[in-house]
Amino acid sequence: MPDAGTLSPKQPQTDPLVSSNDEQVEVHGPGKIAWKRFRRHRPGMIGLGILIILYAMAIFADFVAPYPYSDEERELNWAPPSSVRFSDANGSSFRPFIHPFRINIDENFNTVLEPDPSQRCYIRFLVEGEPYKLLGLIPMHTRLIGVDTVPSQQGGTRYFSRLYLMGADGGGRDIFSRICYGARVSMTIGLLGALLVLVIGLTIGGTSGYFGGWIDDVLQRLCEMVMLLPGFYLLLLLRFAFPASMDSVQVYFAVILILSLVGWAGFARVIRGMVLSIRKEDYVQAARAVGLSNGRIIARHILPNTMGYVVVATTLRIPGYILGESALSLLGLGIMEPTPSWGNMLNRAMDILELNQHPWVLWPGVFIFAAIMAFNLVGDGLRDAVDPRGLTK
Amino acid sequence: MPDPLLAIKDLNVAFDTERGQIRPVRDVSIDIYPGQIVALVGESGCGKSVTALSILRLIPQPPGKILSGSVSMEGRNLLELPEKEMRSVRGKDIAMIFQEPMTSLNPVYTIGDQITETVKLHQRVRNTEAVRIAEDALKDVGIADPRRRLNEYPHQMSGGMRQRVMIAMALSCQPKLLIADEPTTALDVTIQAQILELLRKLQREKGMSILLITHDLGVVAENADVVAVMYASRVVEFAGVEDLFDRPQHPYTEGLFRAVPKLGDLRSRLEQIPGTVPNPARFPGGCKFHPRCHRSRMLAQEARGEDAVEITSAGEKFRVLNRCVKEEPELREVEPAHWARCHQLPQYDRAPVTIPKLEHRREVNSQAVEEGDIEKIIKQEIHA
Repeated sequence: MPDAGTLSPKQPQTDPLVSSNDEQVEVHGPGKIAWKRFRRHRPGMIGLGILIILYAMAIFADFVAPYPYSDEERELNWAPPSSVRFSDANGSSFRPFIHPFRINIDENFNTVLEPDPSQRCYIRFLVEGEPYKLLGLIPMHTRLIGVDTVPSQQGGTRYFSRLYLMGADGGGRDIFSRICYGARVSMTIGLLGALLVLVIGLTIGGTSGYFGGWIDDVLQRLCEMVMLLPGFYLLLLLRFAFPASMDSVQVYFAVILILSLVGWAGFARVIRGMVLSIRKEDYVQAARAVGLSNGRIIARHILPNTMGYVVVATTLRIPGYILGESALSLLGLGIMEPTPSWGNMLNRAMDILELNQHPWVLWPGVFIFAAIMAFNLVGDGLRDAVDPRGLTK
Repeated sequence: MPDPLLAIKDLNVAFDTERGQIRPVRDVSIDIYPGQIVALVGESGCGKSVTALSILRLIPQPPGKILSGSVSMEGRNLLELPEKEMRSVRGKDIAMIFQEPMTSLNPVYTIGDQITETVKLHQRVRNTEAVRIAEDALKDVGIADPRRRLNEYPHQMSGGMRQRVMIAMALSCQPKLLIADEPTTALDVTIQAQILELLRKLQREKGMSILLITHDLGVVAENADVVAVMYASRVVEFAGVEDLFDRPQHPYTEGLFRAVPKLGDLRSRLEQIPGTVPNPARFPGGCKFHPRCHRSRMLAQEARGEDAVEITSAGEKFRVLNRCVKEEPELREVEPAHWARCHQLPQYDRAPVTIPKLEHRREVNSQAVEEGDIEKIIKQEIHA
């Protein structure tokens, strides 16, 4: 009679699997591997460097900026960038200096700002300035850069010793200082907007993909409705859903909300697609077999497996939100004066005549460009780093 | 006779597909007694895995649904439990290990994370205690240096190791029943033997029951107490392991045994069961096995004209018995403690229709095999 199995070979006494492995193998989690690969991605590291500088600028704006953002000197409206010098007609100096501004009246009785080459205002580091609270906690009055002052009244002429690294705006406020403070709005609004999109997108995409059926149908139609509207019109539409007059903090959060309500749909759809394929994985089945609840399976076993994409997509989406904020502020629908954001600072650059006369109002645009560039470089670097098909060096 | 640990009774499962409803499990009744290893055997697509998944209510619903039947464990019908209570059964009372150890562990977590997650889910223990339990579980399945392994990721382990980890995870909460769905199919032969030996050892130590799903008759012969053979969604034969191997009753079971390659057999071709597994959407009428049945063909040659009909299967024309085509046989107790689903057994018409129940334990002492009485067994084989 058939007997298929009683003839089994004797089990070896030593189990090759269980041989103890003495040398310590360094354990690399997925995150650590990605970071190792990202470090080799030069453009990505440059982008990361720029981002660190910009965020440091935002966090320590009080320290980095020579003046508070609303510090006006109305007579110095549209003052050009101070030219930082090491030498003038009176000889040279190791310490950089600027010439103080002097107000003259020209033959047409217009006020004219001009530097007075006979006097020097030395640029000093770590100087005493307006008091502030670092990180909102530590009271300080040391600022990174400042200039010496000269007497403001000298024989009927008024002198102003102010440092305008990037010129002044129409209120005589230092554009560089305002860019530093504006970074707080512009650099965080994109980040928070992207994080909110992350939360909404993961929740909706995860639910939709995992449960399928009618839940999926309803959520996907909702996504499509949002995606049908052109982004910018939706942005404006949502802005008008909020009251027109709100204080800066309210506007700030409203803008974040608006940006994420515009952006979540596309993201949620991709997450849904990924969840659809991940939920068929054996380890999801195994997770169900040990008795985990659906919510926990989605949160702990499915979504973490989308993290590679999520990190990259979020990084690459932040620039869009920064631009969205800038666009709203540029139109006067976002952050309101006097609170600076890079977008509302560019508001004045919309007028071609003003732009012609004071090209330095474009400086915030340079920062927007740098920030977006940096986020894209980092995003590309991350994409290469988390790509499992990438070269493992 | 003690109460069974788990009693599956008249289970019927259906899947709605675009081409109509298919029924992967039909009238399946299996009892599993405490400490018993029950093997569920059959070829791919016969409904073994769906039966197992239905016990834990893990079949995707929709499209799947359980039409009727009951799965009772300790007085509770698992099919009627609220989802929340069912979750506390999964992993705690009934654990399951899967075919593919390579993909059954989540790649983004360490082994330790995954075992302690299960432990903390079902036992009220602190983190440190959960880690200790996980470590013990790894030690139980023979993994050296378990403390260090806890911090490793699945990709750092081989297939055999991962299957050990899966077993450790399944056993970490001391389940009463372990469902092993082809636990060794994806592993090479030596690792297969190790894993099965491990399962037997743990089963003896912890006194749990195992529902072993496999298509490997060697695995069945070495491990099972009781065997249920499935074909085309139905149990076609049910018996104690020695009984089944000595006196297979159903022509499908016979065919399976003939298809096992034997040492020293010099014939050039391995025997096979003619035809292919029927598509579950288009099962044949009557006995589901009749298009492939050698018994029916043989008997048809001797039968009178009206008792046999000509059919075409796999492009081949031949005659089978009329009754096999017209009437579906029932699962009957054709011999004491031996059930089969075939009209053409001489005892069939007199045999009673009873619900298969066997509290049988294998006679072959697997301990003896393990401890190396291999020579003795080989001698016995030669004498026989």
